[in-house]
Amino acid sequence: MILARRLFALNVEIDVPSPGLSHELAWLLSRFPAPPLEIQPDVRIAVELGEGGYRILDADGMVDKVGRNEVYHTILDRLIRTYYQRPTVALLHASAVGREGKVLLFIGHTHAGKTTLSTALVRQGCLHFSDDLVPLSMTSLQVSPCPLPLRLRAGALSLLGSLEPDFMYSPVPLGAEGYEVMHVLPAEGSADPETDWPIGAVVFLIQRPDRPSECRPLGRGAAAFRLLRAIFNSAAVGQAGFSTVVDLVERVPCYELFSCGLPETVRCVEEICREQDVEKGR
Amino acid sequence: MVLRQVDDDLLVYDPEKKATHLLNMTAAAILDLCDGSTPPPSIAGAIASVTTADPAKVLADVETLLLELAEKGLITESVDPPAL
Repeated sequence: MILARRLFALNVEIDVPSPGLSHELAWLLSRFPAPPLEIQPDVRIAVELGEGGYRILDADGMVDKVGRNEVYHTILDRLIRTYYQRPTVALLHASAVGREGKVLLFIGHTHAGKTTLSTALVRQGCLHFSDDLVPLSMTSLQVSPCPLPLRLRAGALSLLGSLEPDFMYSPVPLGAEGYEVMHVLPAEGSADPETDWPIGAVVFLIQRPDRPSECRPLGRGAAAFRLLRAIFNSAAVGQAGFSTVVDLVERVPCYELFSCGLPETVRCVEEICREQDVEKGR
Repeated sequence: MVLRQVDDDLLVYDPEKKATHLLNMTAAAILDLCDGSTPPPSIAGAIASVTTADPAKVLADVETLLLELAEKGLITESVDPPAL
């Protein structure tokens, strides 16, 4: 069964062996459009049932013994590798939500709470833009939506429950990472994957559980330095990536947000949004 | 090396190592004074002349920073150890 989608600005064809897995992948990728029929795929990925798990094959090689829960993420991983080779797009380790025609970009280490914060903001009316991977165009300084379903760990789900008592989610145990099963939320309220957006603000998220949440403007030099460290494919984008990021921080306000508790963190982001609104009104 | 001044900081991109370095104003001034012929005491003297800090402390800091810049590959000349 062939599944064709436009992902990360690539026309991707995925050959899936079973209707069950095909249905599962189709659901996970449902926000992404199918490319026109006459377009040749940029990337072909084959999923085969092998001994001890699935085999994922593409032009660059093969990954063997992949568990069913890991098929989706292995495919994404292969696509990211393809993206690494593109010098015109910087792939940021970040999450992003859309609001008032601009993107709020959240950058932080793994477990900094990027996805949890994004989910809370989407629940409050922001558009789900991207999770974990944000492609930044080096030519337009705009970002492309990658509204894959949000993946949350069990701890994050309880945090969201504390913010919103009637919070409901679909516990689909896809995308196991080590021993930790992640839950997948359908990406409701997602941005249109075909339209790029400008960045309104960059927020560097830092967990600081021993003191109250606090947000403050970040110097542009430090912001550029941290942003450059968040680029997955920094070797591919090279000097052009450096110039792009410096240009970006010269145009866009940057903040560091010390996070202690989800409700307070959300309030800090709301404050940033208010500042943006004031700026927009000027 | 590609240098970009951003507010008070200097961002340095090393195309060979594909690495970026962030230098504050003082570090950037010291890098600027590294012309291959100015010895560390003269660099420290130039820095001390625009600060109220103890010149001996400035010299020690300059020497430490020169070593850090060398480790990062931003300067290539060897730094003489401080005179005993």
